[in-house]
Amino acid sequence: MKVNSIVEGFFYNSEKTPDKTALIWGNEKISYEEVSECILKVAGFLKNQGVSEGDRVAFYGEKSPLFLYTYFATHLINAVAVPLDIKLPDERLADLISQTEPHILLHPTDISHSFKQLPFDKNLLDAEPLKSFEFPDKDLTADILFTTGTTGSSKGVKLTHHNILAGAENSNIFIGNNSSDTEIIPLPLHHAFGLRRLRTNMLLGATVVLVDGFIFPKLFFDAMENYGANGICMVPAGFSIVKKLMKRTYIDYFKKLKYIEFGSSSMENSEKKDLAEALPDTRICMHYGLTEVAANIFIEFHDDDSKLNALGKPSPNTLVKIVSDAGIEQPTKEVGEIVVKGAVQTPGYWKKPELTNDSFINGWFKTGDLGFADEEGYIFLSGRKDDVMNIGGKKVFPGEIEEIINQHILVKDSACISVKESGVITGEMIKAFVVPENKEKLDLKELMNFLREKLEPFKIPSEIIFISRIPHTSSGKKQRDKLK
Amino acid sequence: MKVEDIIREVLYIDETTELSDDIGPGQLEAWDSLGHVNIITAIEDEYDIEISPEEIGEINSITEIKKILIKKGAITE
Repeated sequence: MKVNSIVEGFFYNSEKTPDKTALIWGNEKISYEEVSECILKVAGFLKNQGVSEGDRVAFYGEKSPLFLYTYFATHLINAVAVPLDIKLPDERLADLISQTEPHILLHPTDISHSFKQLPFDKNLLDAEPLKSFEFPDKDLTADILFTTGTTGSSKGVKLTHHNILAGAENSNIFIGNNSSDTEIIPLPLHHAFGLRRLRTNMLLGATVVLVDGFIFPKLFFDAMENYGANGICMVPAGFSIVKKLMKRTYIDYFKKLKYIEFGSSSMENSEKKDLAEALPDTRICMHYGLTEVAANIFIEFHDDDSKLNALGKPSPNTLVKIVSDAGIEQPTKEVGEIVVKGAVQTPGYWKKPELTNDSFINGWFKTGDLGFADEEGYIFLSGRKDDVMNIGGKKVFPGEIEEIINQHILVKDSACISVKESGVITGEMIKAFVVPENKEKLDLKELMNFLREKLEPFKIPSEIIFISRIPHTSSGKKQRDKLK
Repeated sequence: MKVEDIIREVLYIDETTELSDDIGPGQLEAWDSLGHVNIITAIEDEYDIEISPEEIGEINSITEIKKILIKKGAITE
């Protein structure tokens, strides 16, 4: 059946297979019908709070069934979902809230703002279920997802129902998963990758097992044994953690998987090859993606075994090309910027028209990544146009970390770089160079505590080195390259 | 080195953060999955032991880490 939104697809599945398990959370199995009833209750709650079409509903992005209910309830009443990272420090949370001006904020932390706030808890399920509704039009904004901006201020990516539907459909076509599959989602749900996997499975009428991160990988194996889970999504950093904690035993379990979807970040070719050999019957897919244009390139470790150093080929229904600064398509093997076009493409950034304008060229979205294509159509990554770092699959700009470090009273200046070292779980690690005001008084642990209060955990440097001066150009620009 | 000292060193935690025996992975901001791997590795190196995947799967607190170390004769009760 053709639907215009993921939420419409979900309710279609709920009608068709009401008793089927949609979600598994701990020992709790929740059927499609039960989930749909909870969605209607939260939708009723939001309506009672006066939320109407186009209003933003900002909510705590925790891993729980309540997240799914709130997310789809927001869509059902044609409002805009703004899921928030649960680890956001207060200042950044306040920034996102002031940017999106939500009609309501559902969040446990009481921070200073002028918007209506209620706790994100089971009280949302106390309302009378919504009686009548119309599924959203495909061109309505469904979500605003935040990604890091170069200046330290986050930017909200607008995604329409059409965008997120296309993102789900395209990845389903490539991966080949279907309604009979059960997927383990250990990734955060406020983030584009984890959220896409959740939407994708709900659109298909499949089952998802929500697992809280990678800290207890035994839970993955329990899900496979107890619930027949046969798919998983993970970032290479998470996979490294699984390998370190479970050692070789992970292979015995993972080789029973039908598919794995990896988010694209640093993974050695030899590791890809080893994994393909160890899991001969598992479809091992890795995407290249951005929140703005979903997973737009895919590679499969067996099918593409001769090109494992490539990002892959464009996702189904998606166009990718390499262009010069003037927007002219580059010949094969010539480096240029990777640009993307297709139904997954964001209409732009929330309330940032200039940034939106700068992010497109002739209707194509500019990824900011440099790459080239070969004669077979594989796309290869060469680097970034800016100083962005990729830490375990998440983009981090050095400027935003330096800005926070420099706020410390005993810090004069700082510069951050990413360092690739074999054995580093996140692929790249952040190294901070700090010029202290007073070397004797500046305590490393105290500085780390200071940073933990102000930065998300993945942005905390792995190493801090005190130096006497940061190299700058004559025009005052930091020369981070000289620190490498 | 005591288990608590290893954890403090690996996670960059100073004395202002209390480390009681019932604290475990996921309960401190710094004790995330990456921190957990680093703690296990540091403990294996410090006591020259290998902790099996099954034992790692049981670790949900400092108490459990100490139980493993006692079982392996690395520390005494």
